[in-house]
Amino acid sequence: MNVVANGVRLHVQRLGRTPGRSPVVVFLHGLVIDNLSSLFYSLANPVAEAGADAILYDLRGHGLSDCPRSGYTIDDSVADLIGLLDALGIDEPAHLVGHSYGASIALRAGLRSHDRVASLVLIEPHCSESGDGGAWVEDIADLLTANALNFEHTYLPQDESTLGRRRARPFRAADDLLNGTTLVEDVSAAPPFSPDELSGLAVPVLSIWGEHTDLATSAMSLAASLPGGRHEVVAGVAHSVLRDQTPVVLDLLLAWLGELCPSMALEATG
Amino acid sequence: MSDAPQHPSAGSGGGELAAIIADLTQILVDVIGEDFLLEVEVTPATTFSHDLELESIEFVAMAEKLQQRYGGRVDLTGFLAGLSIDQILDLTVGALAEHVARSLAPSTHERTA
Repeated sequence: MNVVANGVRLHVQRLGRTPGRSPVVVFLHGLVIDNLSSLFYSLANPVAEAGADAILYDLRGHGLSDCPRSGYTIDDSVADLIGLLDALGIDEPAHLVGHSYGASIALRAGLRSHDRVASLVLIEPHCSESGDGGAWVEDIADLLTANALNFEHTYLPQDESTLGRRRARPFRAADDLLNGTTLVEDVSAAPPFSPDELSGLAVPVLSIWGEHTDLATSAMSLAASLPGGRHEVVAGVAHSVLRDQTPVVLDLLLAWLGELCPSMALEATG
Repeated sequence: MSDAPQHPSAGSGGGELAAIIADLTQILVDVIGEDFLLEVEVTPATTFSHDLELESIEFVAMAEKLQQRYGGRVDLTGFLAGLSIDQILDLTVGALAEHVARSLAPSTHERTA
């Protein structure tokens, strides 16, 4: 379904037999080449099956949501999220499950709008404590732009079939997002998460990291700033922990929700 | 799963399965347009992601339309909750149609009464 939130039409999927159940769990995906399907395929259906009101949405500029030319700061993203909760009539605090940059948005929402947030589950969040927290976005943007150019040069001249045009669609969408909107500069300008700010976080936090993640510095900093939080490291994987160890991540998530929401039936994977 | 039909095209269930696959095909047309039908024939063995090259987000859109088409009679959430990512990526039109057929069918004890 489509929901207008904060002036943007967002593509939303709401899972579970009865919307309005408790707990409410909102999923936030990662940046540019990601959309709600990664969390739909991995976590959201089992969470809904376990009794939650599971809500997924495509961030602005991603998936099937609108792609405005501007408004990609992290504060804009938090406003989109809160606007979505308002538009869906959700009054109770929601558990936010964020992956990669989606976890950064969730963390910022937990700090700015803690009354709307029941808990945070942060899977490989980008939460650099230094002023160059946006540098990784430049790297991703360069890589994707290079890929997009390569794809156009290599494939499109030879493949004008319907299938060829369909294959090109996600690359064209990524190219438009990177080069036709303010996303890169907006995300790059994200203020860092300072230890002082994090120490004031008023909601429970579970963070999940891959053992070999490139974000190890962020992981250690977050754990140090949130000693009361739960910080889990999954062995044998890196930033792709969600895709490569889905059952482990799902079990951690279901256990977390089960502890915080005793009324929720748990059906952990085998 | 033990009462799933072994040969979905056999007996009286075959026509129902064909009708469900026709429904799924129409839903796919709604999601990705009709041009793909010129290049691919939709059969029970057709995979969504490999043969139809459905993007993951398009699969989600298809699942939503399927849920709307059959309402509360088909539990897609429960079905997908039991599949791994790779199983969803390898899902065939036939497997999804069989789940719909099982969901719509009267329960076994009613059949044999």
